Amino acid sequence: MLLQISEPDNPVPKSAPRRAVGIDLGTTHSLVATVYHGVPTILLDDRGRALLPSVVRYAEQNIIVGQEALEMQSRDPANTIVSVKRFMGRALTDLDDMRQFPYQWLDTLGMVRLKTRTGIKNPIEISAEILRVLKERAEAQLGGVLDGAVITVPAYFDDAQRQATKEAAKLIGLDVLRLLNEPTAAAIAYGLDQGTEGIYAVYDLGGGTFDVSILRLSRGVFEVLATHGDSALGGDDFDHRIFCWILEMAALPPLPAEDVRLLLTLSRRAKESLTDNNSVPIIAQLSNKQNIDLTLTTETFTEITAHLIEKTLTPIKRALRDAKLTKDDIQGVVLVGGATRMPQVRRAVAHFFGQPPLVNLNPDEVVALGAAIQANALVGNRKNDDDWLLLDVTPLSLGIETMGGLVEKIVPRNASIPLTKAQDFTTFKDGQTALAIHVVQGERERVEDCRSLARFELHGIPPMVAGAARIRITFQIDADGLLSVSAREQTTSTEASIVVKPSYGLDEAEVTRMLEESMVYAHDDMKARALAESQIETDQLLELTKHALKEDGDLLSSEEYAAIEKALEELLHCRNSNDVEALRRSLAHTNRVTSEFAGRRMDRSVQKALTGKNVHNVV
Amino acid sequence: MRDYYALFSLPRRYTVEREALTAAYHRAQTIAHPDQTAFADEESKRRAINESALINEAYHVLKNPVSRVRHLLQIHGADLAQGRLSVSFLEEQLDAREAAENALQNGDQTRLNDLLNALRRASLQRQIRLAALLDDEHISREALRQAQNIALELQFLERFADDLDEKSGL
Amino acid sequence: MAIRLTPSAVKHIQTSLSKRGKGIGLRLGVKTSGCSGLAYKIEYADEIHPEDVQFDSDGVLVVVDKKSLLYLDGTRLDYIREGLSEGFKFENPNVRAQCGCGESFTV
Repeated sequence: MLLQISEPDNPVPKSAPRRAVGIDLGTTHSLVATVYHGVPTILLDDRGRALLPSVVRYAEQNIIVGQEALEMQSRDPANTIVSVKRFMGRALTDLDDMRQFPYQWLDTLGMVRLKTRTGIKNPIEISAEILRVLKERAEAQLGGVLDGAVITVPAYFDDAQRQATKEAAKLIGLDVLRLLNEPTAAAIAYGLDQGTEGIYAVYDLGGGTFDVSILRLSRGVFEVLATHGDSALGGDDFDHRIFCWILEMAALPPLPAEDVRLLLTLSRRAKESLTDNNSVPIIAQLSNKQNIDLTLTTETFTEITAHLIEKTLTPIKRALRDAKLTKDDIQGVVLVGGATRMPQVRRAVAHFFGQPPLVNLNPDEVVALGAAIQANALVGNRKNDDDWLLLDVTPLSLGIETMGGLVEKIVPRNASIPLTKAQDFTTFKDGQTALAIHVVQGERERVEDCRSLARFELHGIPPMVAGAARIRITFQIDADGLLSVSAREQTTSTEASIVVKPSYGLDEAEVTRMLEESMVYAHDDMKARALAESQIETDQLLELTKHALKEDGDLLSSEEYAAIEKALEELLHCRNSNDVEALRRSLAHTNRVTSEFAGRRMDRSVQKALTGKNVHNVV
Repeated sequence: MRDYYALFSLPRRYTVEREALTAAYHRAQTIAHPDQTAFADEESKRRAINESALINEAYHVLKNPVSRVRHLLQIHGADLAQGRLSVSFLEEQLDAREAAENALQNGDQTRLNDLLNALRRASLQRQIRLAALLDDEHISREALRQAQNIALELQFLERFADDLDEKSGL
Repeated sequence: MAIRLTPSAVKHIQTSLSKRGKGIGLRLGVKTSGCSGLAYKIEYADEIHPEDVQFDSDGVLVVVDKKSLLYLDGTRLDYIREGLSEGFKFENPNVRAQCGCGESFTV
């Protein structure tokens, strides 16, 4: 049978738009958003709240995430993990002041780990619990499994911190469409909201990180010109200053964990209260019954935190310099992050740039909204006229360790991504078949002052005279800002095999343990998901069958018609119950009852198709 | 070697209009960038990363005055590394470097700014001469030879300025 | 490349596209149908959908959605004359049974 080219029958068989979300995995709060009917929208929890406190508590029987966990902080400090983002991709030696965290740290190599009542936990699995809650919230409201998510990270996050974020998503089966830098996400939300071209600065002071990015928006292209920051500076530090002030003013000795948590909580509330008031009382009773009764004024607060604000100005100047711009070139300044609500922050920014910052979008929500917009685009949902592109950069220089503990820079900071850079190496011993490369990130000259990323071992170099081999190592940084490496011996064209030993990664045993533990809690999720999926299948079947009855109902006898209608009624009834099993049975039954009908419909359509044909065309 | 001018369909001259380059860069990335292939197969995704990386490289090479002239010379079969620096130029540079060291040690910001401005002027002078030599279709061997020398001077000046900038400001 | 077009097929497609005046290429696929369950589909392609895979065959853009590609992998598309009729013919190594009317197949 020979075929002809026909006109496309359905204009864009657009199955329902894909389900994609943007997730702001913040130090203090996390949010999830989606683009709904073309509008970026934050998804609220069942109490109508947008913000999910990034707090995870390991209780006796279960894991509690969010507001409930936050409230138990002071009573169960060792098992209630707060600000886990600060520990992602970090080792014990990286954390400045251990005393401010009441956790049981373990002295291990690589990424930090802590001990809870239900076992050893690492930051990846703790973050995964937060992501899990957001994923479930989204799936419940969007009616099905997510096709992917864009997760935001501070622009200044290094490779280890980014990898850890991606691992956390992987642990709960969430497909990461892109890791998006937080300031860039905010720029997208603002840029598309305002629609004005120009050069913008984004000042993002979150709970634990500070980023500043300079972007140009022109003809629908968001181009990041430079980004700088401090991945250990945020609103939390302002809380900590108040905490220290309290200790000083009340002449307190080192306190037990519960009291530390209590005072830190009060410090945070005081900070927030000072946004709208000139002074705030700090009243508490410690576990030894001692009473604290102090008053903190805005003046004092500004004084004791002035150095923190000053610390944020340096990255701004560096970013401007790298972008080869001056502050006068900046058309608008966007503030992101709850901490930018502090009046002294707003004043400092306005003063530096000589213009009032843009604050129309909610600083807590803007990052999640921007991420949702990008998720929507990546998943193929956007319309043709909604064409825009994001060109981001890598924040830190990439280098290799060379003789004498020095760093040779191979990729400069603020280079546009994706990028590839090749570097040639050779052997220094006759017959050498392996090579070790230590890759670091950072701006300093000495290896010990930079962040160790990973050690790459190359094997399978054909044995040659020393210095004869030409091994080309290609470094690639993808659009997520993640590094991958490949190597090839040029003279013999052999691909060397590479063993990567990430400095802050996890070993296999740990990954297995994490997966097994997450299965236990996933069981309940699976039931909920099975129900949601069956309900969707039911809705589709109901729709299709009703349509079929309308079109070809005449193919059925009146008894057959009635039997089908009865099955549909039952199906509808089961659909609205929460019984997965009953629904599944009803679906199976309905399919059985309608199969004869389906067969007759098919015959009818084949008949229709064949009768229009010329006898010569049918072989 | 890839001709970055051809990649962006720009005329092969030393002088490149910033606007035209940026527009060409954006257009190219709009087609090649990995974000446009989020649901494609692995092969397409790999190709997108490589193509996009190449476009980024081309853009930055043509954007920067030193890498641009190096690239242009290569296209014409010349080599910046073959250039020669005159004795007077080298002496000038040594003096300037010494002055810079002193100014840095003394924290003399005014002197440093003066030096930086002088460097920028010298750099611009070189760029004007390079444009005169390399903006034509056909470039004589003599012109190429001269251009190599001037390009090398430009590289020196720019490196010095970057170094000074990095050390002085912050 | 997973789907091949013979020179004859390429020529005919190019002619058809220019006669039609619009379209970016050819869309190939499989759809459910009568006798044995699946039938080939040849259409003009006006746009690319998110699940599509693209091939270039001698200047003709061939677009196939991912699911259809599973069935069409290794197929050769030819344009021939058989008796008084002419048209496209698929040669698919995956095909096992062919239905009497010649239109649908099972893999």
